[in-house]
Amino acid sequence: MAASDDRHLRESFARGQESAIRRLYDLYGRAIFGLALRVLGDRSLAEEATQLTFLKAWQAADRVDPNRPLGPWLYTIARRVAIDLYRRERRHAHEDVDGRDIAVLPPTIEHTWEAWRVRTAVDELPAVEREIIELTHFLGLTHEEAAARLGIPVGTVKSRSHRAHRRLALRLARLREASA
Amino acid sequence: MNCTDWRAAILEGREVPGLEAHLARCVECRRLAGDLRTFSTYLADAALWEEPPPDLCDRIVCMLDDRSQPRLRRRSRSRLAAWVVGAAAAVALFAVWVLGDASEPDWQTTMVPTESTITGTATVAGWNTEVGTRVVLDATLLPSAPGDHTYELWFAGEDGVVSAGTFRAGGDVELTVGVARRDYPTILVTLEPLDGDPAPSDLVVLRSTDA
Repeated sequence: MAASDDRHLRESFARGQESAIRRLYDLYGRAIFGLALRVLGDRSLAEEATQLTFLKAWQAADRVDPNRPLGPWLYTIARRVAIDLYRRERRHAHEDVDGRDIAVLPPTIEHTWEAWRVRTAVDELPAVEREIIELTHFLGLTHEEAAARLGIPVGTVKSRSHRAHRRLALRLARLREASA
Repeated sequence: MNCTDWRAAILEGREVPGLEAHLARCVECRRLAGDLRTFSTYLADAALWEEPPPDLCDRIVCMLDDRSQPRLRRRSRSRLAAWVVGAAAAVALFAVWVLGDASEPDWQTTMVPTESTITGTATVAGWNTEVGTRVVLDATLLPSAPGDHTYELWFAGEDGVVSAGTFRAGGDVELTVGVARRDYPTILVTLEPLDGDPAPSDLVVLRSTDA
């Protein structure tokens, strides 16, 4: 997204416009949920973390630097919320742990930024291309198997796959440059 | 093939003749190759493809809508608003006369300062509802929260505290909370730093007087 789009979306989000909340969720909701699930390992806690992330973002939306890109800003909030919930759950589970133990970060926090970048890049793909990526990478299907499952010609799967990987490569290269 | 094609092939994990030769002469692709191979492993990770429940977006919209309302329901002092309020009051009086007073709160309490450095008072009127409690907080006598803080209203009881929402001082604020006051008899207002921590801070500004 362009910086001006980010700024406009954040301003509309700060005003509580429903369309802006839904747009932001479409862009980052799955990545936030995925990050929280990776850290917390529990779907209901991940849902709570996603809701809290949106709440915190909304409370802060009209105060952050307007030039700050939305994705990394939301990632920072989501990561913080997930860590807070992880510590809360840890505290509840082990009432007698001392402060140092509670300060320990969840072991799964380490690669959340890479996973976040991949998920947000995947979520920007058109649905038909995202579907191909999921079938071939996650389910490990060949192009022929994916074509049979979707009921479309193998050539279509190949062209969609090529387009999807080109788009992802471009997007991931941009994200890498932005965070370098 | 251009650089994007080569990079797409790396991401896809495809064996393409000439790839190594291209990487040997293209600095940018060589620099990206490692990252792309890492990203490729994430694409095969089940956690990446986990989907949130389908209604989560609606729940977030509802939650933020509830939180937005108090901002929009602040007392207005414009002439048009005064006319509208006057007309509404006349209608309400007529309704009370005809139907009885259905809007009378179930309880009211005065909030007084604690030992906090912020001074001020507020009153809270509450209505018991099927899903919890609706409160209207008159915070006109409360000074504005410092720039990097917000106020938050809490219901406190033996089971802990439940947030009714955040607000800024200077008018009437309407909030709802999903618990009954009989279970959470103490009402608190805290000053919350904007640090992302959902737990209440230690900065209790006001406390209800009737619990």
